[in-house]
Amino acid sequence: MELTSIHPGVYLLYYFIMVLFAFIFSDPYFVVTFLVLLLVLIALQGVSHELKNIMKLFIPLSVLIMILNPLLNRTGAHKIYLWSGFFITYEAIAYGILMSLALLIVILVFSSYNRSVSYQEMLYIFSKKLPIISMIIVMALRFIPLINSRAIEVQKLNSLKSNGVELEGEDEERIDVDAFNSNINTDYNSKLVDKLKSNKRIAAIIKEAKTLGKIMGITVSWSLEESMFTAKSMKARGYNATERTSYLSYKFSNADFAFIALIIVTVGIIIVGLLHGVGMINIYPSIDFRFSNLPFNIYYLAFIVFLLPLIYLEIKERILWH
Amino acid sequence: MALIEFNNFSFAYMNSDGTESQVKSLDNINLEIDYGDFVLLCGPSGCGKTTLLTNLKKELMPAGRRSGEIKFNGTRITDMDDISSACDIGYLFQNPDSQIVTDTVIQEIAFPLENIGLPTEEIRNRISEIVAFFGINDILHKNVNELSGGQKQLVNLCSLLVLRPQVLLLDEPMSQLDPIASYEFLSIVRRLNEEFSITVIMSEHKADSIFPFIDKAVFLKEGKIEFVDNAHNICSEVIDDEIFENYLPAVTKIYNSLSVKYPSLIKLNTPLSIREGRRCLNTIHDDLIKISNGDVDSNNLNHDNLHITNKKYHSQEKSGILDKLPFKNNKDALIEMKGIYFAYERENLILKNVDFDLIKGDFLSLIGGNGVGKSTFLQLLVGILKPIKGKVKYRKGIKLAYVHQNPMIHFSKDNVKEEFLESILESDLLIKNNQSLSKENYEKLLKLNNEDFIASETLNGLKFDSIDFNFKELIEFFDITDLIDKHPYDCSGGEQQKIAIVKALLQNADVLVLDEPTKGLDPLSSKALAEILNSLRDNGLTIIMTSHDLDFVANNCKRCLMLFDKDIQIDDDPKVIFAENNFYTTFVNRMVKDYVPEIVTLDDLKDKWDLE
Repeated sequence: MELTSIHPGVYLLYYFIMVLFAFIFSDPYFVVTFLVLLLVLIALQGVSHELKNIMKLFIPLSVLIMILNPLLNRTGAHKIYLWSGFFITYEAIAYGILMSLALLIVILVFSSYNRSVSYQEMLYIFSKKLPIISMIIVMALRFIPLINSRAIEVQKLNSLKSNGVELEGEDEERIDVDAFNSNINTDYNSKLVDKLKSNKRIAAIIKEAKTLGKIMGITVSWSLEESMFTAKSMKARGYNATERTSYLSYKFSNADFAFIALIIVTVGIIIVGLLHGVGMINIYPSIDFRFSNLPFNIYYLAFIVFLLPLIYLEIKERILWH
Repeated sequence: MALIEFNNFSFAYMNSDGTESQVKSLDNINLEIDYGDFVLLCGPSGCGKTTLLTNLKKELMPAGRRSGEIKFNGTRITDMDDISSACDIGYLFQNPDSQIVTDTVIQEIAFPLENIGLPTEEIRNRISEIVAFFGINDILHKNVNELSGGQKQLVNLCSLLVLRPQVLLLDEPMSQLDPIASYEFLSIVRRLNEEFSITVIMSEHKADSIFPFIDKAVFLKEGKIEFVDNAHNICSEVIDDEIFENYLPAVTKIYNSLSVKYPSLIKLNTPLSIREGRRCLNTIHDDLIKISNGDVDSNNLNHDNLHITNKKYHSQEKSGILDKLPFKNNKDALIEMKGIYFAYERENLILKNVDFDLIKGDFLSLIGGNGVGKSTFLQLLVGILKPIKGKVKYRKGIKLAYVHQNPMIHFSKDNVKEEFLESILESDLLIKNNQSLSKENYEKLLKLNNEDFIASETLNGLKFDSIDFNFKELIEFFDITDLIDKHPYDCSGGEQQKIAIVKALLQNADVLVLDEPTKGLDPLSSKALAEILNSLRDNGLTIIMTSHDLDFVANNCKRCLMLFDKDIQIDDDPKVIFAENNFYTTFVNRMVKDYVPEIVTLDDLKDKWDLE
C-alpha cells in the first residue's frame, strides 16, 4: 500500500490481535470467514515468493496433521469404526481440520504482515525499546550476505585445488596432505576408524567434511580480520559515544486514529461475544456444532468489520491508481 | 595557530607479548597543518603513514608508548571529548567493504548521526542535505551489496561528512578502486577541500593525479619525516632520492630528465599536471621535434606525419611479435579457449563468443574498465568457472596456479613455512623427484630456523618443470626469507602477494594466473614485482594477469588483451595499444603524444630522446 501510510505500531497491534483470534476462534463459520477474507487481502497485496515456498512445506504438514490427529487421539463421543476393534472419532477429525486451518491462518497473517510492514518499520518499533537488538539485527543483515559471498570465493579456490585442471596424474598415487597437518591429530589406532576409512563412501564424506571445515576456517578468519576494521570504523564514527537515537520517524495520522478506533470498537464487541460463547465451539468430549446454527448476530458482523479495513484500503488504492 | 600540530611526537607499538617495541614507528615528528590544507602522505609500506593517521584519531589510537604531543585546534587529541572527536575528525579506511556497518545506504549514512544522539528531525535534515549535494538519490534505499566499489567508498565518505568534520583522514582510500572510480572519488575530495575548506590528509601510492592540487607533501621513511614541502619544491628536492623519486608524477620525472639536457627549463616552475608539462615542452618545441624525428627532416608534425610514424613503428615492432602470435589453430597453445559464452544470470551475458590462445612464454595482461569480465575471464581460463557454451582445452600435463585478488584467502596455516610445505605436498613435485617426506622429517623441517629451512636438502632437491630455480634461490629471489616463520596474516599486502605467488609456484605450475597483483602496491613493491615476474618469464614460466595499472602493463607485458563489450576487442603488444589510444593510455604517452606518439614508457622516452 503506497497511498495510505499507517503507523507500524498500529499494524503491529492489528496483526497481533489477528494471530490471537486465529487461536481463539473455533466455530467453523468464523474460521472460514477469517480464512476467506485473509485470502482476499493477500490476493490484493500480492503473493510473495516466500509465501509460495512456505506453502510447499505447509500443505504436506497440514495433511499430516489431519491424518495423525485422529489416529493418535481417541477421545470423542462419535466413534467411526474402520474395521473391527479399530476406530477413529469424529471429534478428532474435526479437531485436526480446525487445527490445520488455524495454522494456515497464522501463516497467512504473518505473510500479510511482511507485506504491510517493511523491516525498516519493524526496526523503528524495536529501536525505541531495544536499541541494541535492533542494531544487531541490522549488522547481521549486512554480515550474512557478506560472509556468504566470501565463502563462495574461498570455495572457488578450493574447487581449483581438488578437481583442477591437472589433466594428468589424477589417478596416480597422491600424498595424504592431512597426515602432515599439525593441527589435526590423525594418529588413531582404532580398528573401527580404519574400517570406516576403508569404506569408500564414508571416506568421501570424511574428505568432504574436511574440505568444508577448511573453507569455513578460511572464511571465518578472513571475516574476523575484516570485522576488526568494521569495529574500528564504528568506533571512529562515534558508536557508544552517547545514547543512540533513530533516523526513522513515523507520525500518527488521522487514518491511524480511525484505524485504532475501529479496532477498539470491533474487538470490544467481539470480546463480549466471546464471553457469551459466540465463535467458540466445544469439540471434546462431544462436538456441539450444527451447520444450521447460522451466526447472524452483531458479534459476527463485528468480526467481519474487524477484518475489512485493509481490504477496503487496498481496493480504494486500486481505484485511485486508475 | 595551525589546525593540527605535531610537537616532537614519537610512537612505539606494543609487542604482542605486552612489552614495548624498541623500534619507533614514528620518530620525532614535527609538523604543522593549517586550516584547509590538502596534505599528501607518501612512503613505502610500513613507513608509518597509517600509524600517523590513527594517532590523530582518539578512537583509533593504537596501543603503545607515545611521547610528545599532537594538538588539534589547541587541545590535545587525547583530551578531546568523545562526541567532538567523532564529529571533527573523519577517518576513511582502505577497504570500502569492511567499514560498512549496516545494510542499506540510508541506514549507513544515518549511523554516525544516531550514534551522537541527534534528534530524528536533525538527522533527516542532514541526510537530505548530503544526498542532494552528492546526487545519490538513486541509491539511497539500495542494499549496499548492490553497489560498486567506488559507490561504496562514496557512501563511506558521505557517512563521515554528515558529521560535518573539520579534518578528513584518508588512508589509501583509492587503493582498492579502479582508475575511473579513483578519479571520481578524488574529484569529490578535491571539491570538498576547495569549496568547504575541509582539511584533508591523505596517504596514497599513486600520486600522479593528486600532486597537481596538494598544498603539502609529507614523505615518510622508517617513521621519520624525510621531506615536507609544497608540491613544486618537493619535486626538485627529491630528484636524487632513490626511494621518493618513484613517487613523483610521470610528468615531473620527464621534466627532471629533460632539464638536465635543456637548462632553460630549470627556470620554469616544476610541472605537476599534463597541462603544465605540455607548456614546458612547448618552450623547447623545436629541439624536441629535432630529436624526436632523428634524421627525418621535418619540423612540423601534421597528421600525415603522425600516421607515418605510427605505421613505421607498427611495421618495425610488430614484425617481431607477429611471428609469435599466429592466432588460429596454434599447436604451441598451452590453453585454447574456443567460442566461450558465459553469464552469471540468464539475461546478462558477460562474455560472448570469445576465442583465445595462451602461448608458452607469454607475459600477458588483461585490461579494460570495471565489470567487463576480466576476473571472470581468468576464472574461466583456470577452470574455476565453467563456460555455458564453448570449450577450454588444455595441453596435456600443464599445471595452472591461480592467485586471487585477495591473497589472504590462500592461507590457512599458522606460518608461512607450513603454507609452503602444504603446496609442495599437494603438488606432484615429490613424486616426480622420487622423494618422500615422512611425518618426522616434516616436523623437523618446521622446527628449523629461517635460514636452515630454506637451505634444507629435501626442499632444495626438488626440480620444477618450468622454472630453473631451486627452493632456496626462489625464496631469496622473492626476498621473503625473514617472513618464513611469521603468520601470513601478519604480513603486509605486498608481502602476502609475494607469498601467495611463491605458494602457487611451489605447486609446480607452468602457467601463473594473477588477478590484480598490482592492487594497492607502493611504487617500490610494484617495481620489485615487475622484476620478479619478468625473470620468471625469462625462466620459462607463462604469466597471465589482470591489471588497472597501465604503466605496469606498458613496461612489462609483451601481449595485452583489452576486453570490451563481451569480447576481446584488441589483442596486441601493449605499447602498440597505448600508442594508438588517446584517453586510455599512460601518463608518459599523454605528455609526449605530440612529439613521439609511439612512446608509452619513461624508459623508452629516455632512449628516444637520449636522456640520462
